[in-house]
Amino acid sequence: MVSVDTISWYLLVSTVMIIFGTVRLLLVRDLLARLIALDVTGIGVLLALVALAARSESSDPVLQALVITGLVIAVAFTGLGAVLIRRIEGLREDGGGGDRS
Amino acid sequence: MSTVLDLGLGVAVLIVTGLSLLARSRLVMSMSFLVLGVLVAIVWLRLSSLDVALAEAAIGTGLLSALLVWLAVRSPLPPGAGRMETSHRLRWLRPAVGLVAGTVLTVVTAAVWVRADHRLPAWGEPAQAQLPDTGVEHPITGVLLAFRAYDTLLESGILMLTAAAVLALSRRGGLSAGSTHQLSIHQASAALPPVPATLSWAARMLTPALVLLGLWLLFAGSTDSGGAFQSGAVLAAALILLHCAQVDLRVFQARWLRPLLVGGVVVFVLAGLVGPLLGLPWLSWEPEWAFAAVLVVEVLLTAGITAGLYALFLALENPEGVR
Repeated sequence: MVSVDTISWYLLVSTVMIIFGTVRLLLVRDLLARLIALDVTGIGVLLALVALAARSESSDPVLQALVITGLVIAVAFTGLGAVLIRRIEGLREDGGGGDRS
Repeated sequence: MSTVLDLGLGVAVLIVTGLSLLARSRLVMSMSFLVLGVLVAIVWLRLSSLDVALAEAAIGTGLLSALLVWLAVRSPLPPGAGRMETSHRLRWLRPAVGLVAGTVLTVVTAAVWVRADHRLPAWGEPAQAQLPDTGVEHPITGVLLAFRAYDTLLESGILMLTAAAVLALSRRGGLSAGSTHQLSIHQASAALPPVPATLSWAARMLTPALVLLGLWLLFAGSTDSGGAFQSGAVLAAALILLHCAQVDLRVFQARWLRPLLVGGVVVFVLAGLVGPLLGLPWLSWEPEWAFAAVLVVEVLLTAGITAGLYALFLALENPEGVR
């Protein structure tokens, strides 16, 4: 059982992470920075879910299972994104030095 | 006491979040994200979610950061790293609008959270009451493999498809290339720098312990904290360590990686089809043989997750078009 103040505090932290992660995602140009911003947003969402799960006597298994699912999906899209970034930047290096800096 | 700890943890999480969002160098971003994973795992423990902490430590911190750090080390300073998109006339406009919009949204949402009247979800009691029928004692494993089996099936399907997409990207000439029976992944291994003997030695020493930990997490999952995803992540980490220490895994990669990748999902679907044959709904198991079904599915799912995560790492090493 976690106190209500603690839960509210972590909910606030998660809100800041979600919103500024999204803002950064929308504004930044570098692809890796975008991927990390998306992951930070994801962690914020998971933090909100876990904080909500901690309200009940023993932490809510349904929400915790949802969070574990979310973690696996996060690693899946990050892995695909990382490979695509490597590929895009490799092509850009090959393509006659056409860096758009 | 506990409140001070939570306050400090929250502030640390916010600082590291800021670092990983605002840093200009890819290395700093990736390293901050790694630290964020560690901090968040401690937060999960504070919020009494041991399973999630295990999953975060293994999947989030371990594998995710391995992927990102790898990417950052290979190309540390990309064109325009960390710079905001700027319009030509008013350079400050977009960051300023972003900051103001973000702050306003944060304040509004925070006000909602503070004033919200907390109510517990209505699924708590029924989920607790029906847990004995799932065949496992640990509620989270029960939820993942019985109550929300459909979600878990789709999730392992996503991981499988991601690994398939990534493997398709990493080959020379796509899926219909001449050497279809062999992944071209190991071709890059000649270009790897020589590893220090300590790493090779340590990886070989650590692997049995990691395999044991992975299997323990897998079989403990029916009664205690643990489960397929945590276990798969630990086993994939053991494979990645062995690969970095340049232990020859080529036979495993060529022969076993893809059958394992597909096997988990296929067996999950087959186990789901047993229900309709016996006149039950899709993806539901009778209490008598539920434990056996859940165990078989979980073991094969773990193998599939291990293969998928390892394939993600391998493909990052040798994507087409990178010299």
